[in-house]
Amino acid sequence: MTGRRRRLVILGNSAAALSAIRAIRSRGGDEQVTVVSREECHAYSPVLTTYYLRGVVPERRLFLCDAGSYRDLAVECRFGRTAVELDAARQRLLLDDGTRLDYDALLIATGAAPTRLGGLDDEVAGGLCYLRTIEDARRIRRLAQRARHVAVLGAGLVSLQTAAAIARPGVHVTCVVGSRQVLSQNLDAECAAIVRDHVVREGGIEFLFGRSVAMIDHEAEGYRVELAGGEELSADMVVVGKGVTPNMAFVDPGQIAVERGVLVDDRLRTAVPDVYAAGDVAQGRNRISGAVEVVANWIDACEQGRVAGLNMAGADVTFPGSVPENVTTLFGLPVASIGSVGAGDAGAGLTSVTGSCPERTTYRRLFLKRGVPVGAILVGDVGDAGVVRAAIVRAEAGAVPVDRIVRGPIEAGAVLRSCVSTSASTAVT
Amino acid sequence: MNKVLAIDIGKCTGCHVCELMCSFRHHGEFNPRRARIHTTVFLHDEIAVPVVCSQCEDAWCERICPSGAISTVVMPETGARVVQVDEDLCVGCKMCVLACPFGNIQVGAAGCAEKCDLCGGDPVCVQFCPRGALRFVEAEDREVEKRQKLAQALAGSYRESE
Repeated sequence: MTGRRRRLVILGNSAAALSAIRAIRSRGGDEQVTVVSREECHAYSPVLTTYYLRGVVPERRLFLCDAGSYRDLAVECRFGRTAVELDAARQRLLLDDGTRLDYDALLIATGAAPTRLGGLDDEVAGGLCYLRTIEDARRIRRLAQRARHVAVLGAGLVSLQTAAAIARPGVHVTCVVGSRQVLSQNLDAECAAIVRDHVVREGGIEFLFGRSVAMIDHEAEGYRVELAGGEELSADMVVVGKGVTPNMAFVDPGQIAVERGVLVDDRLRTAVPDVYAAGDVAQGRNRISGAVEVVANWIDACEQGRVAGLNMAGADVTFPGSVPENVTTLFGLPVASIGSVGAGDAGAGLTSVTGSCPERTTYRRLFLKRGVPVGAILVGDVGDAGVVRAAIVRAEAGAVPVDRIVRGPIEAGAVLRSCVSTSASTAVT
Repeated sequence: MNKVLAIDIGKCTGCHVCELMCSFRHHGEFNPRRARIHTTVFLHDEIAVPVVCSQCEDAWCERICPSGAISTVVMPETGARVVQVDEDLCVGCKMCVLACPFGNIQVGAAGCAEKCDLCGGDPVCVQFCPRGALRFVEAEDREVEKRQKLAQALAGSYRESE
């Protein structure tokens, strides 16, 4: 090989970015790799921030990397910098400090930022809490220590985990929810009710469903949250969890196609050669529904980053598509959601099979489309979540023992067996 | 030396001794629910399928662990590859449970991920398997070939039945 080393630039420093860097280095090439991150600190795990809020892990445990990690990966770090302009035609990136980075391949792994609540007085807006970064977590933790009444706007995964972390005797947490259920992106209404009841019972969290916030104003010691319809509540701390918006302001839509996120193909390539995108900023194919959408979760971010990294380093690897999935534990109740589960408006055309075992507080529901399993919700016992996930992802084979799965935790052997056997209706004991 | 835990499905009788010994070794109790190896028995087909961590090269659980608690090491005595959980780093978030397609990593009562650790180099399931269905053997080329054949057969049956 002659000439200079290839220059790879990674924008971002979380799941997708780290996975990409490791994948690039696993190929053993001599590429020059530069990481640009908006945050000043080393990579940390956003999955652990709610554990930090609960006091389960100390702050230092949030970090996935230290200076040595980047050195070992031979990565040049540009921390505390944001990309302001991407000139894809010239393969050039402009940073906010005026630095120009020329690249041979670029990965956009900038993630997403919490969607901000609009129409508020600046001072009020500045006082609201969001949970995404380590700085957000530090702030929530600090404020929660002296809060007595906390309003949480939203009941998604982050909101519920935050509420669960803050709630304790003497601290009243009220969740104001636009929809009629908790976890509306992850659960159907029936499973959501089970989770809601548990959270109310175990955490004393109060829910106000079907309410939207009309205004938030300052009050003597905190905030007055006015709801549409005239209700009001006082809170000395307001946490907003209204979803996230991909960080792609520096992308010129005239050069790189974007919709809700940066559009990618099955190799994580954007519309422009040598520019890739992965993680919460990317919009690609949903492996189960086939829809082209932003599927934002930790596992997919890792896998997308890995595939993008391999391809940037010269491999030709395809990503099979994203699977909406998540697992969480709320006041000791584990909940897993996999695939299409009739959340939001995606419920059309789905049928479901349900099994429950009240004495063990387990509940399981499998969702089918034209008879083929496309999703599952497991509550209480999620030990077989990976087995169920694998079965759903390969459900075209028609080998998913549906009844067996909803009856209780399934072993991998049962799924392997039914794929070894030609008859899908193997007698299962 | 590069030892692997090899399973011969044809020899397994489904006696579950492996599960009992595994749970006893790791938790001090005979409780199949706490075992790290699981055998599914199909009485009507007269077949039993033991499933245990394959200590994957480039393991799913390791790739996605959000707290960097999972790593792969090679045991010096046996050359066996072990994907292991650092209990001090694990927070029990269960992402690994969702990622492993074989259910071979679980979050236990202690709130920490648990998986087969090959008992540090001398697996008790192998010691006590009455029929020799479980063996801890050198991964000779022939073993590897056999495993790949089985894997291909499994993958093939997925495709054929589409």
